[in-house]
Amino acid sequence: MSNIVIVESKNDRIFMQAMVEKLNCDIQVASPIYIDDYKSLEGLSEIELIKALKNSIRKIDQKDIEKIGIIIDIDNYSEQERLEFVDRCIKQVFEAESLSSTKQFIDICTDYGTNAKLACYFTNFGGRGELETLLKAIKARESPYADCLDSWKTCIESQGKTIDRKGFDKFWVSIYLRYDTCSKKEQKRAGEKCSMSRFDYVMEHKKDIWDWNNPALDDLKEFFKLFC
Amino acid sequence: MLKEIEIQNFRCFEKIKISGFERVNLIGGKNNAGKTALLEALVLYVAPKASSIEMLRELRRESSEALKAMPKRAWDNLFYLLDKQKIIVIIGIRDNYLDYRVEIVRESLFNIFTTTVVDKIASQGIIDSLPKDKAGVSVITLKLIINEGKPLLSSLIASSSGSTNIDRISLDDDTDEVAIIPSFIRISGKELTAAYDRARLNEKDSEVLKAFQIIDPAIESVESFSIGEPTLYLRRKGEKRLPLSLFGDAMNRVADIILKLVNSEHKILLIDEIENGIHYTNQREFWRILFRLAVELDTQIFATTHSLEMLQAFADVGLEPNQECSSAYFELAIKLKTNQIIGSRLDLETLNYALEHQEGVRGE
Repeated sequence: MSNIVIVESKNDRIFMQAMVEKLNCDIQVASPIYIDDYKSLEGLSEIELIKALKNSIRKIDQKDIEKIGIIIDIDNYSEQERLEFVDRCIKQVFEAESLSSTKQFIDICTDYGTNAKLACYFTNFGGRGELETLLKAIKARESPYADCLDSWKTCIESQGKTIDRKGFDKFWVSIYLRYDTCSKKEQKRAGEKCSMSRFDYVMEHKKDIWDWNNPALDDLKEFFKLFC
Repeated sequence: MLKEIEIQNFRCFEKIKISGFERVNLIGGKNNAGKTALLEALVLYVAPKASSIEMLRELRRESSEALKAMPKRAWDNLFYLLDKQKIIVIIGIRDNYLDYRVEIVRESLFNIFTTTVVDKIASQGIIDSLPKDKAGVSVITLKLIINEGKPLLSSLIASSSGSTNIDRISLDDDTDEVAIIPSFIRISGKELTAAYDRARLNEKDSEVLKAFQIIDPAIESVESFSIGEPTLYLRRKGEKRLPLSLFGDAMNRVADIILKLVNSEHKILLIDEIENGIHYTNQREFWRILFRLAVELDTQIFATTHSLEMLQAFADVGLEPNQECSSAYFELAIKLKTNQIIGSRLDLETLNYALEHQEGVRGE
């Protein structure tokens, strides 16, 4: 019997699916809810998460899905703020216990009376960030091109300009894919083979550019093991 | 307006409860998921009389010859797993707080004549019309119980002579049959013309023209003529009148749907496989007419579909700004654990979400 994990974006789905395969679990990573990376989760995205949860009701009822997971970015929020956000959404869809921690199941019930369990995890490294922050932390190859962005960052800051952490991490990963891990043959079609816009290709052909045993993934693995 | 229905032991439903019906309701699901059976249950709920069962037999093209040859088995198909020992129960909750309960039971011939349903003279006439060998006779009785009151009864007797209708003897009920559009049977030109004349009498004929114009904007007028066989004629701009039968299935079906909607006495319209014959480019406009008329005529619509395009058109129109008509989608699917059919309600935002994310919403 399959379980469902709801994720935030297409690339989250690709990464989490690869992780699930590594763990050899029977989990269906659902279509991403496509919360816009740069939109506040307090606005439109709350509606989107509620829609995703409502859509899961019929799967719980029909397919006897027993466990639902939610993975969203922690961004710059605290874990408590994120828990309150998810809890608000859950309460609008299910009869449910309050969500008080990550990686821990709560009982939920549909209007049809079907019971299931739900747990959540917030993608982060060091308590902040999103998928790219995590990817940066688990890089497995030498990364001179991407690492030199630190000098670039210092340079632009000396010019009175800034780049936020989220933007920097995304830029770092895109340079890591585009220059540090892109073969000469791939360079000719780098847009298709060495970029986050084709993360599916990267994850299918170059899984080893990430260190899957990195301790930064331990929490996420612990979360997925709830479903195995 | 019906808000909820519970069905037990009917057709493919052992027990199903579907809640949250709106003004316009679209029902989807795989083949044999119970879409048509749900419409049939609604027919029996809205008009629990013997003639409704006869109508369902006609819609299912169940042969009257088979009934005569095997009268004992005449009503078996109505029962879940053909188990006629069970009672079919259909319970609805309406927004007027009236609690309607319909029961359908197999009964003995003796039983129906010992109740107060049939007077002595009538019962003698019925008995005389039956074959002498009463052993080959089977009876089905529909009971309508309103707010736990005394049941109103209606029975059908199957024998080697055919079926005998003892329809709602205790009820003064002369309303028409429930308006249902089957997925495949084309209504006759004569019936369609009579329906059009009735709509014309009630000043509703312009709605038929508007619906025709969705399919063919060049149509300027609709008229009925009773020269020989009553027939509907359409006139396209700058052309001569032509009979409706020359305009193809879509026009006939649209005419049937709109006429049944504007003429419905029961304030309910049931449409099986609504997409049939309607080109995808016309589906949004068609829904707009149905949504508007459902509100204007205070009528509830239940339609089934297999079509993803029809589903998307339904969601798009239902989510249009200033849409006054409430609507919902219901997905019928078999619950893996119990092997029973269940009905999942999707509000239009959730339906649209599922469609956008290419998630199956038709029982996959």
